[in-house]
Amino acid sequence: MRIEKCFVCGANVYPGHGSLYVRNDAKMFRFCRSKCRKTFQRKRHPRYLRWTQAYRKTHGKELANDLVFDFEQQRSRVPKYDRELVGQTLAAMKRVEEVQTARRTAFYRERMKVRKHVEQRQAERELAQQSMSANIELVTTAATATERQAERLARSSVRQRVRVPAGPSDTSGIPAAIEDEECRTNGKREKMDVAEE
Amino acid sequence: MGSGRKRHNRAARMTRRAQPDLDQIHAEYHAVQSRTVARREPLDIDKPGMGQFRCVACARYFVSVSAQRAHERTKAHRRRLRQLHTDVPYTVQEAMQAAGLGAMRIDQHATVR
Repeated sequence: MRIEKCFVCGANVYPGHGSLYVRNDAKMFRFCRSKCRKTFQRKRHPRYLRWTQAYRKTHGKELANDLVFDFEQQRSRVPKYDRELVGQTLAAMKRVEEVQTARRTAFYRERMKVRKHVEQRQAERELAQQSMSANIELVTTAATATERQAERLARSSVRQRVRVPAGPSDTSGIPAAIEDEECRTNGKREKMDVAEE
Repeated sequence: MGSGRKRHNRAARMTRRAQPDLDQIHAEYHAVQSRTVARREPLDIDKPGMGQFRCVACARYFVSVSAQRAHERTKAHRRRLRQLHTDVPYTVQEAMQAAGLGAMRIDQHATVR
């Protein structure tokens, strides 16, 4: 008795369910339901159908290339009954399940992180476009307006702080190497100025 | 003929019109491509054009050389050729990996569209 996997969608096929197709080159294909069998008969490619596991994994929607999956494999040889081995296997299965769930969850969170930003940006762009086309000014509340103003102020003050001086006389913000260069080209007077400062 | 009764047997029709699967076509196409000497197709009176004008990529028979050439200019044929050159066929092993039996080495599989 074995729980098989569907050739098309990757779902479990329990004993007494689904169907099996044996091609005349002795290759076997299992299907979990008629939908999957028909998909196969129409020669659709499971890798490019969005509802299959093959699609989800090859397109980075789900955890795919991970060592945790190597624990569960189809084995063609049946091991000899051993009470201890059964106990160990059952314990290991539980542990593997835990690890797999944790890694899947982590992968999902990581994937959704990016998605959140992308969605936000998309929404903003859409909103801007719509307001442009409809010639509507976006309504801003007093709170957001003051917030924006504060933000703008903060940004401008930062700009002031990092502003690089235009003239050679004010060299306070210039790194040492450039300062030396300036002094050599502009003579002694500027050097005195710097010293005074 | 002449009985006036038409048979609607879908299963029989599907069997009659059975086409090889894409992985079979893929294997045969690349086997033919790697052949250095062209092999002569055996004469088959049941097939169009005695089975002499065959497109391996599309698994189709034609009645003449001109019909075959016309087919080779079609979009369907060119699309199939591109598919055969870029895609790796889907296997039972890949299905197993997708279902979670063994890690899925995506780079082993096809170019993702």
